[in-house]
Amino acid sequence: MRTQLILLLAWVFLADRALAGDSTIVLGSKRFTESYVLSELAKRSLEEAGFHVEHRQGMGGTIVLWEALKQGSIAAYPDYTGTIQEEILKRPLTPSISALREQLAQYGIGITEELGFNNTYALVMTRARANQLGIQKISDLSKHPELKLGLTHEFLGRRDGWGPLERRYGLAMPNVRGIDHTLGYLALLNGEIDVKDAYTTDAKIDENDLVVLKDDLKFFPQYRAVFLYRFDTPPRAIQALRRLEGTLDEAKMIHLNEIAESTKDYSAAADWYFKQIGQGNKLNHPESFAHKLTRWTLRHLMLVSLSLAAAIALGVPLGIYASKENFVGEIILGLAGLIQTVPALALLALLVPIPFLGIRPVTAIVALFLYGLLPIVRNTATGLRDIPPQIRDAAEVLALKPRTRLTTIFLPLASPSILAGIKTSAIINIGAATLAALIGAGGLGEPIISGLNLNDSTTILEGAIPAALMAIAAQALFSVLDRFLIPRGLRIRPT
Amino acid sequence: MIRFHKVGKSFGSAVALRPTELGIPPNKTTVLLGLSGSGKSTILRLISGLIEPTTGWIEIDGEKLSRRSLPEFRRRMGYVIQSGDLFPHLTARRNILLVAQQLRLGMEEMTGRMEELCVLTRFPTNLLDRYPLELSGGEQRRVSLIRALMLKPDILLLDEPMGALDPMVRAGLLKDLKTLFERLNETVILVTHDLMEAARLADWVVLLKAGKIIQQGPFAELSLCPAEPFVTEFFRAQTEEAYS
Repeated sequence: MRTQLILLLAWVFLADRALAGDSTIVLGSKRFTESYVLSELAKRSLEEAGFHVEHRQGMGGTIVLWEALKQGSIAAYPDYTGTIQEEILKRPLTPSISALREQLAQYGIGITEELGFNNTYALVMTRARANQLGIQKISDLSKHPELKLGLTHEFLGRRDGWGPLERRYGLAMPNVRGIDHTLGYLALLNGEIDVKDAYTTDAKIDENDLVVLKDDLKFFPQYRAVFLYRFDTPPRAIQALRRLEGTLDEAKMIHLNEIAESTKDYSAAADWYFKQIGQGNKLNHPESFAHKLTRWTLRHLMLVSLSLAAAIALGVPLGIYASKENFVGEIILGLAGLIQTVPALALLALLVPIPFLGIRPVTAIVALFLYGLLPIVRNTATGLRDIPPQIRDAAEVLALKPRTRLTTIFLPLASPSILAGIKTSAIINIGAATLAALIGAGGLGEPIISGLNLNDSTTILEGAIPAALMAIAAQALFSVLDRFLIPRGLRIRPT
Repeated sequence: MIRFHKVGKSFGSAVALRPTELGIPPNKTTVLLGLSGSGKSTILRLISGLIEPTTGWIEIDGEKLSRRSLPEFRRRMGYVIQSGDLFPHLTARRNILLVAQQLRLGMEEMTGRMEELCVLTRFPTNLLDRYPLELSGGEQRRVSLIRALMLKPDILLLDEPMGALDPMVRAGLLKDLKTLFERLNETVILVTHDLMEAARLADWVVLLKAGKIIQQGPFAELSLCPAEPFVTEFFRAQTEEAYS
């Protein structure tokens, strides 16, 4: 058991090395269009300066990004002054850049000057509904407690979000529920909700002719866009980031967001920006679909195969222990079952704060490994438990050594069951690995997540179809493997 | 000589064998006869060390059978279990040679011994590379016998070796077993519920009922001088069945 543990740790270390290229600058972004676009601009700017850049798209909310930045999983990401003050520093400061800079320095984090625009929170309604009820400002809401509000989970939980706003305005709205930002727009347009939270530079506001409710009590702080970066980022990279300072006003940002959402391509927005500032001829060629698909698929295969290999390496020995019908066996099976009941997404979230893991591909692999464990442990244990008593007796009276008994008799006899477990585990992992994209680990989840953000089913299918095909291919591959790995004597039908 | 000293075996509250005194004569064929649940298989499993007695102890050639001495005794025993005791994923040949391989015995000698036993048990050597499921029931029993006899055991234990066979195959195997036991001149203990097998093979018969020895002696003695009504009944029931 100790050897297995050491091997496991070594494997985690190697997997981590294999996935982290050196001299690559890693950028993060939050799960909304503007954040993607800003990081894409930064990526382009850093690439112009000669760096190799990886952009981990849509990693999560503020806290996830901040932790990733502190841990060093990412070198920089875009954020807003109000958010930094309210969510990260949690201090009533005047959100001047210099005040923030002083506070952030103690964490080893630097802040650029303003990029140029203020993207504050806002509450929005459809023009038709607002006119119908005569609502123009937030305080008007108090006259309509029947309205249904669909707010993002982040806005619901923020210190400058719904709770404090409701108290400040003295509102009492009973119909408030949490909804994904992109899906919320659909709900708003369908009339399922009446009010939602938005950002003032959100392209969807113009696009859908929405009304921004006036913040008449001046509740929302200023949200001036900046980049946060680690002090240990190469100085030339910081310079490249700072080249974006003061170059983006509100109109430009709204336009960039519009381009990103209409072309379903964040790099198209970056192209437009650099054309604007006269660097159009240095544009990167957009990645071809075939190239992207290959990149996603290879990463997906890597995530699945590394996690599956580890699940086999630990799952089979655990299954052997668990096959003894005693207390320890039941505990092992129980624990493996327990892991499986945790939703894959929650498992990822639980692993992120663990030191040494964090927002990195290796965390996704560890989560997938844990997830794939149960079918292998259970099928190994069942396969061994189901060996007929005559065979057990025969092995015992022949005085075979325990090791020989296990390797030449019991494991081959249990092999059909063990292989079935491995097959189940592989197929589960191919599906679950799409969630790896949430923590920037890439794979076929990347188009799925960004498709969800853009509300674009074509992009979602670009990831979903290959993932489904991969699952079918895995099924076929294992059927072929069965022929080689299950002893011939077990595949004969009695005549 | 195998001796039982007040050997009893219970599984929880169920008594499989009541405290029993029993001596098994060397170099003879002893048949443990009885209905299912009579304790006959329990005796065999106790001798082979697959289960341990709840009370009393077993002695083999004056030495006590214990967890320590078991591996040594096991080398001297061959065991054939009812049916399905061949490893299905190994060919007949590998089933037979498995233990010899583990002990790193000379393969040439072992192959010779295997072929000799094939002749003795009338198992065609061209079937050696088949898997158990590719063999008939009778052929499987013969492979099982060869496997049990490979290391020249001086005690051969057989638990209903003809249990799952059809009558024709069974008659053939029965005849072969008789010749085999005579040639081997070893201590053979065979468990059966079948009177015919006892009549044909036994030098000594031990008749059991509900975990207790009812009568023991040569077959003719049980048949002619039944110790209690159950013996007569057991004999008559099977004879009648044969002629009805």
